Amino acid sequence: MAHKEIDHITGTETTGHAWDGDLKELNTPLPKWWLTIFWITVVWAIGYMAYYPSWVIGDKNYEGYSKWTARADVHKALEDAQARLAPSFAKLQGASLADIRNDADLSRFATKAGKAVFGDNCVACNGTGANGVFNGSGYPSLVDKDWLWGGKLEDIIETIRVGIRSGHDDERLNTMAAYGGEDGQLTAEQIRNVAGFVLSLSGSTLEGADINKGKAVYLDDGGCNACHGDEGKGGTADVPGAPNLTDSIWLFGKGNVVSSITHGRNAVMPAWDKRLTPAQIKAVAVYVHSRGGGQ
Amino acid sequence: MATHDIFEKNSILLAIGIVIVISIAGLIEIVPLYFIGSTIEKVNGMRPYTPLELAGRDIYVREGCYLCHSQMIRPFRDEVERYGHYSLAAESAYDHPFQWGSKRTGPDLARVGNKYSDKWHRDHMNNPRSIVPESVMPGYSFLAKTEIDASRYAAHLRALNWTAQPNGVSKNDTGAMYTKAMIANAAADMKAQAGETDSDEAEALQKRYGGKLNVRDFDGNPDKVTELDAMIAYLQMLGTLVDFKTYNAKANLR
Repeated sequence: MAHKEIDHITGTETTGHAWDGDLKELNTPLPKWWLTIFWITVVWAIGYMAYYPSWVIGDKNYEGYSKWTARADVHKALEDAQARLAPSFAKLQGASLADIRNDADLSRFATKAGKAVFGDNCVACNGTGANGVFNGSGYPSLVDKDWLWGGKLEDIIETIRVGIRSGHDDERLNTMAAYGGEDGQLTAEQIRNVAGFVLSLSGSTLEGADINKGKAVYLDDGGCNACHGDEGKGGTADVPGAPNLTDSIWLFGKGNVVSSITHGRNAVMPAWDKRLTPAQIKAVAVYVHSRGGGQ
Repeated sequence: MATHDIFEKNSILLAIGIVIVISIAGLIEIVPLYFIGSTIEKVNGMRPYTPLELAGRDIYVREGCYLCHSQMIRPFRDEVERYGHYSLAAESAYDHPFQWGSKRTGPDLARVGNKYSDKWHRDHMNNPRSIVPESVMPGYSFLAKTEIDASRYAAHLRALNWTAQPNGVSKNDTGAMYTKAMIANAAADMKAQAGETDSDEAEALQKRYGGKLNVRDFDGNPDKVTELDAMIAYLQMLGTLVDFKTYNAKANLR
């Protein structure tokens, strides 16, 4: 279009097209403010691309003037947090249980840090607040005084570190074998009797069980006392991990004692020493210990 | 004005013009990723999925687990502290398709491997609320009752090889995701991984795939290879392959 055509009513240039003989379209210029912002964004984009990694040249990334990377950011954030928390974690690592109890700040720090670790890693099995899933679920409550592998702070730390039947080199290990089945050590009748005897220790009864015969199985044919003790009080320091049968806490359910003896029970707790730092393990142990059951 | 008359009067040319214009951004952003040497980090420990894990992965995709679970730990402090080391591109090397995801109703699963016991997974799959009362996840109790047809997995491995080598794999297995031996033994490997830990078949499987391998009866039912075996085998290896002791994070900043 060589010459500009101006619409005489508005004084604005037209596009030069004509439809139906005389219908024409105005070519109103863009507002100045809009155009200004547009050019600013273009200039901004060029600066942005120069400052941040934006292009690929050959087989390499252009790093940008700032050399910014998301991964460097997260490493820095983690290092900053670590530097901030390191003195507290170091203090916690060197502290005994009495030290922690006597130092309100340290105690608060350990419990809070431990609670965070517990929330991220432990609640799935041991429940929000460490109170287990429900009595008989197979996932222990950590707030009661019943501890299979010890309720002292050092014991809890060790259990978290190496796990139970976890496959870790230093795993905590014992076996509740299956006594039933075709080639089992005990007959179904013997199992029923010994289950009745075991339940009688905490004042419960099992229908169709002869408690006296069950006691004989417990002490003799079954050899249950080797791990659970003559009185059924559970494991000792020499033979840890066997539950106390005289209380009313049943990890696998009071109604499942026959099944436990028949099929065996070997629950697993994973080892955490690869996921958590020693300081985190200590913090979460302090948290668990503080929930009411710690010895 | 006359210059764009040709587009206004010719719809085919207009369509071609549109395709060219909207392709530019994609070409500039995506194509270079295939050529940058630094996209995939150099790591030790990655191996293809075993047939049993692959079956678990298929079930994961079939059941739409990705709708609620991502498998990508982003490089943020809160994610790294909760889930572990941020995910690497190298860790998705054998994922077709990847399971990164951008929506989490449930937690990220990129490093859930070995975090919980097999029994936990069994109970949780059977009825999530039986152990996590707050959970909104549906139950998948049918997995334990559904047997897997191991015989079809040889074809599956062969198909995946085409994602690694679209022109087919050479005679000596160069560049193959799955070697001929892996394909030939797919069905046996699947049964072996869900069976006895120290069987000869398990040893052969370990030798073929190398790296860290979980071999055991995952679903608590030694007689059958069920979908639950596969699912737990898959979940228990997620994020466990890369040896982070030999990984240099500072050399892989990007």
